[in-house]
Formats: sequence, structure tokens, C-alpha cells
Amino acid sequence: MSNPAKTAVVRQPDPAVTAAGKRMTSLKSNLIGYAFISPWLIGFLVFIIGPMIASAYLSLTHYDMLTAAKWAGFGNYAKLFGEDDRFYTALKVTFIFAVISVPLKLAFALIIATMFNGKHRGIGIYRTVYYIPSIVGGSVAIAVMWKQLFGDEGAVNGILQLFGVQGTNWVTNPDTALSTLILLVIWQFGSPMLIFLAGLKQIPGEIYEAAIVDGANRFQKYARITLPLLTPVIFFNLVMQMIDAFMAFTQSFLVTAGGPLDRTLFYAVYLYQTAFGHFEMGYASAMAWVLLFIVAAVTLLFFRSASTWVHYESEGGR
Amino acid sequence: MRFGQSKWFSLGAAVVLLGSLLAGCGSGSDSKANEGSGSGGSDGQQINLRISWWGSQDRNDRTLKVIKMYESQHPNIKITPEFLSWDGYWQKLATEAAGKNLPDIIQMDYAYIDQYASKQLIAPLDPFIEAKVLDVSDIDANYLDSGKIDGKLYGINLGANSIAIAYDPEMFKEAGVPEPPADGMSWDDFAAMLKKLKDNLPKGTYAINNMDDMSGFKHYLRENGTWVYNDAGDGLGYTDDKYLTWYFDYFNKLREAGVVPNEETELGVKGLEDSLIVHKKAAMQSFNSNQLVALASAAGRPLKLMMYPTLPGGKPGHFIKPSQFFSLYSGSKHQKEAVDFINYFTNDLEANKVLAAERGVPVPTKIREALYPNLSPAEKTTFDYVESVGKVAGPINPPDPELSPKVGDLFTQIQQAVNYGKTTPEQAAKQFRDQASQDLKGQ
Repeated sequence: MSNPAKTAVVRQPDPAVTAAGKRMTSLKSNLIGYAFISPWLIGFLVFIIGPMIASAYLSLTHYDMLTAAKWAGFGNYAKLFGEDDRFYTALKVTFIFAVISVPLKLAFALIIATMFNGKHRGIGIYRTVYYIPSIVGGSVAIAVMWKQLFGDEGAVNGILQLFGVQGTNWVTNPDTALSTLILLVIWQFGSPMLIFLAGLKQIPGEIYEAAIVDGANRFQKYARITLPLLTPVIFFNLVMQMIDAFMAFTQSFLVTAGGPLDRTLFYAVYLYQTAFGHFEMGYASAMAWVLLFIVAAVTLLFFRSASTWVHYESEGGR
Repeated sequence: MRFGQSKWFSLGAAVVLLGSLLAGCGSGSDSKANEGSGSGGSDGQQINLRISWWGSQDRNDRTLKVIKMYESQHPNIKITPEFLSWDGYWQKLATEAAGKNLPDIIQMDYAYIDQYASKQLIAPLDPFIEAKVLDVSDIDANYLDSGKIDGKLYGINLGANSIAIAYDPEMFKEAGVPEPPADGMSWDDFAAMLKKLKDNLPKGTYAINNMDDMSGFKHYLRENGTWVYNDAGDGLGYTDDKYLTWYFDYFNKLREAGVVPNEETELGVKGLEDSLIVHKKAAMQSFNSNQLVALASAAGRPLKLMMYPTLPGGKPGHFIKPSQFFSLYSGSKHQKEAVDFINYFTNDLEANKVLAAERGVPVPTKIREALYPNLSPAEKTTFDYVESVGKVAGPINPPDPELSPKVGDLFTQIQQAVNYGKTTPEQAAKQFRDQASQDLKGQ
């Protein structure tokens, strides 16, 4: 607090004192804000920051949960990068999965969203129906169903047989297992679809009217107006889906369990096996931190690239 | 001033909110502390025990019923059950161990008992035997010793078990192949019989599942007088790669001849109840003997049991495996009561009638004899099988070392690579040696 006597005598405010006073006031009002969000804040500190610090520490130890952690320095990281072949397998599988599944899923979501943007009868029902896989898609039941559908005597092979094609067990065949999982993820295109739909609705109709006056055809309208104006939404979906893809777990864990021949060994599945199968908690923590840095680096790359292709109308078309 | 007032009001409101939150936590821990000190008191007071096990729904129902029976006889004891599937069980247990909050009574497996005992998470039961809380007088040393580590008893065997091969006598008749002798046959004769089965069964039917898993390999190693792990548990116990090469090669030939299914089909099987034999797509199936009841009921027709193949001039491969133990948490506040429940579970006839040997053949002689006349045909088959295996079985090997789960995973990976034809038996054997030796050395 500034000294009242001093301010009374010296009419000219001392810049340093005022700054300090301002800081004090803002600190006070901030404090009230913090007090109000304290239930969340405490949860955040206890359940997110706390475990993160613990995991950072554990990543520098050997810890089997049954006995106290033993200090290992950077041994876990050295082993991870230096000796662990499965770590590189998992990275490769995860990258392939992300690079193939995310663009396909987004393209699919965008096409369906465009189709549902118009005014047709019963459009609400269609939107709901197409959103359902997103809600149930992550569930255990769907994973089990997927295994059944693509199994030896599943529906997929049944349909193929009608055309005289002898199918395989798609889930346990090393050459097709990952594709089966990618298909499962693409099928859950509902939430990016909804976000696309919201983005499409926000594009002002006048722009299209002006384009029609100028004689633009449908394709031109889509390529020159819809897509550029949608880039912020595409960017958002891309970043979110990419992060999701790097952390993908359920599909592989439940449908293929990382197999066959590690062809679907997602990073998160290998991390889980290390932590809860082999009880190497320290090593698994190191893996988790490496994943965090990889996701952060990829996200950063996306943000860097954004200036070249994402079009923000509000900021003078940057 | 007005601003100040409202500011103080909101701050006050926030503090109250915060306070109530903390109070919430506080009262939670208070009540817990009360519970702890309350139950730690003298006789006649309410005692809470926790017990955990893994298993099927059938096991859960039976165990819960026995708990109810025990509680009605001991009104001052309340038992809280925790049951999971095998997969989640060890993760939950490790988490509870890390939090020093293990259940008083822990269902334990032979693969983990050494680890939990060496870290002193489970307590030796010998003092309770001396104090006559736990009665083991009716249990054969064979069955008891598998729970011993360094001479101390860390777990009571809940059921005896051994690996086995189930077969469908009807399908043998159909194929015109004589049923195999119950005490097994040599590996060569076994392969010849499988081929004959395959040739005479309808197209698309296999003789047996592809049984080239690690328990079969362990069996073969025992017949050769050696073992997977060395005594210290920090390396492999066998020195020659010829064993694993032979083993994979044996099944490679069977797979190429279509006698056992390819890996796609084998991995497509979703659990025991979905086995090929259940769907009449194979005449035989390898598994653990205590699973016969489940397998036969899934198949809906009677199945018989035979022993694993033998090595002429070799040592006995079979051993009696404890299907699971009950162990006592070393940090339990009510050790005596917990052991009393274990004793009831093991020795009480009424309890064992309810349990119906679902965990494997009961180890006390009197219980076995009393149960036998009322068993279902499949249960009788299991009892007879374990008894006949007991006559030829060799001593059990020491419990698997701590890092064995990783080695087990490695074996599965390499086995898959062989079965998919991505590697040869020779390469696989060498790869297993290199990687397993490194994994067992630890960090």
C-alpha cells in the first residue's frame, strides 16, 4: 500500500510507488478471483500438478510400487533412447496411426458436415445418428464388437463371401490389424463433425450471395469461400485430433492388445504395459514425459505453420 | 467503502467455501482414524477385515456366500470383499501396496508370492500354526510346500492344479482314432496321433489348438531336467538353445500340416469359452485342469483329460501347481482374525461344499474325500486327474523371479513371430536367450 502521508505532501505521484500500489490492488483483486476458483485450483494442484511433479521425480528412479523408489538419474531416459527397440516400434506405429487416421477422419467429418449443413427434412435425426459413434466409440463394448465384426467369422467376412472373396481375421492378421483400428477411429468422426458444422453455420450468407452475383459456381464457392473461412476450425480440429491420436489407447488395448507382432503397439499401450504389466513405474514415467515433449513439439509445429494457411478474419485476414 | 465491503464479503464467502472444503477432507480423515482405533480395541467390538481375490463370476458368487456364512457365525466380524479379473488385480494390489493399504487377506498367485514375501508385504503363517489358529495337519506336504519360501509358509494353497489336455471322446470315435492313454504319450506318438486325427476329421477341423505357449515349454524343459530361470532368478536356467529350437520346430511342422491352426485363427479365440474345441473345430485343447468345469459346460458335452506329452527317458514334466493361495497382509491390524477366516475357508466342510473345488482340488484330505461322492462328472474328472498327476509329478520349481512377467511377454512376442513365419525356430531361440538374459538382469 502506498504511504498516505507521502502522497499528501508530494502531489506529483512517484511512479515507483504508484506502480507498486497498482500491483498491490491488482494482486488483491486477483486474490479474490483465486479464492473463488480455489475448489478447482486445489483440485488442479492436488490431482494434476502434484502427480506431474511426482512423475517427473519418478522418471529419474527405478520404482516397482512395492518398495521405495531407487534413484537412477537419467538412466531410464538413456535406456529408452539407447536400448529399447520396442520404444521405437511404438513411436513408429503411433506416428503412422496419427498421420493416416487424423486427415482421413477430418476429411470425412468435413464432408458429412457439409452434407448436413443444408435444410433437409429430418436433418436433426441424421446429425444425431452420425454423432452416436463418437459417444459410444470409446467404449469397451464397441471394441469387443469391432473384434467380432472383423473376426474370422465376422460380418465383414460374411459380406466379402457374397462376392466370393475369402477374408482373413482382420484383427489378428499383422498386415491388416492397424488398418482395422484406423477404421474404428475414423468411424468416430462425430465430434469434429459437430465443430465443423458450427463453423459452417458461422460463415455469413452475404459472402455466398455476392459470389453468386459474380457468377461463381458451387465448386468455386466451396474452394474459395467455405474452406478459407473454415481454416481456423480446421486448425482447431487438427490440433485436437492429433493430440488425441498420440494418446490413443482404448482401441489397441481392447481390440488387439498391441499385437499381433507389435503392429498396433500404440505408445500409450506400451507405456501401460511397462507401468502395470511389468511394474516399471520409473521407466513408464520417463516414457510419459517423452510423450509430453513429442506432443508439445508437434503442436508447436502446427502453430508455427498456422500463419501460412489459417485465415483469421477478425485480425485483418492474417 | 462500499466496494471494500463487498470485497470483504466475497473474500469471506470464499474463505467459508474453502473452509468447508477443508473440513470435508478433515472429517473424512477423522472418521477413518476413529474407525482404526475403534476396531483396534478389545474383543466383542466390531472388526473389519478386507479380502481380495480375482476370478470369474462363478467364483465371486461362491466366495461371497462363504463370507456370509462366516459372518453369521462371527457377528463381530465384518468382511469387505474386493474382487476383480486377473488383469486388473495385480495393478490394484500394487497400488494398494504403494499406499500401504493392502487387504488383510490376499489371494496370491505362485508367480507373485516370492515378490510379495521378499518385500515383507505378506506375513509368514507359521506362528499361527503353532498357536493353533491355522490347522494344516490334514494337508499333504506336497500341497503345502509350494507356499513356502526359505522354509516359511507364506500362503495356504487353495486348490491343486496341473496343466492338462482336454479331449472330446466323441470326436475321437468319429475319426476312428483310439483315445489316448490318460498318463500321456511320447511327443512323437502325440504328433502322429494328432496327424491321424486331422486326416480323419471333417475338413476345416483341427486336431488341437496351437499349444506352443510358455507353460508347454516349461514342461518340456522340466522333462529335460532343467528350468527356464536359474536359482538366483537373474538369468536363464538352461544353457542350450536346442530346447526352444526343438519346441518351436515341433509346432511349426504341425502348423504347416494344418494339424494346429495358424496364428490368425489362434489369436482370434476370445477366451476359454470360445476355444476351438467348444465349437467342435478342434478335438483337443490345452489348459489348466481346474478350468475343465468351465470348458465342459461351454462345450455342452463331456470332455476327458490327458497329461502332457512325455519324453522317453526324461524326467517328469508335470508338477502340482497351487492354483492360488490366501496370504496374510503383514500390516494387517487383525492378523489372528484374518488367519481364522483362512482356516475356515480351507478346512470347513460346509464352506468347501459351497466353494465346490472351483479354485482347484481342495488340499485337505478329509475335504477331498467328503466332497468326492457328490461331484459332477466334470469335477470328478478333475479330481481324478490331479490325483493321478500327483503320482507321477516331480517337485515344483521355485516361484518365478520378480521380472518374469516381462520374460513372459517376451516369450509371447517371439512365439507370435515364429507362428507368423517371421522368424525361424533357431533365430527365435537365440533372440529369446539374448533378450531374456538382459531383462532378468534388471535395471
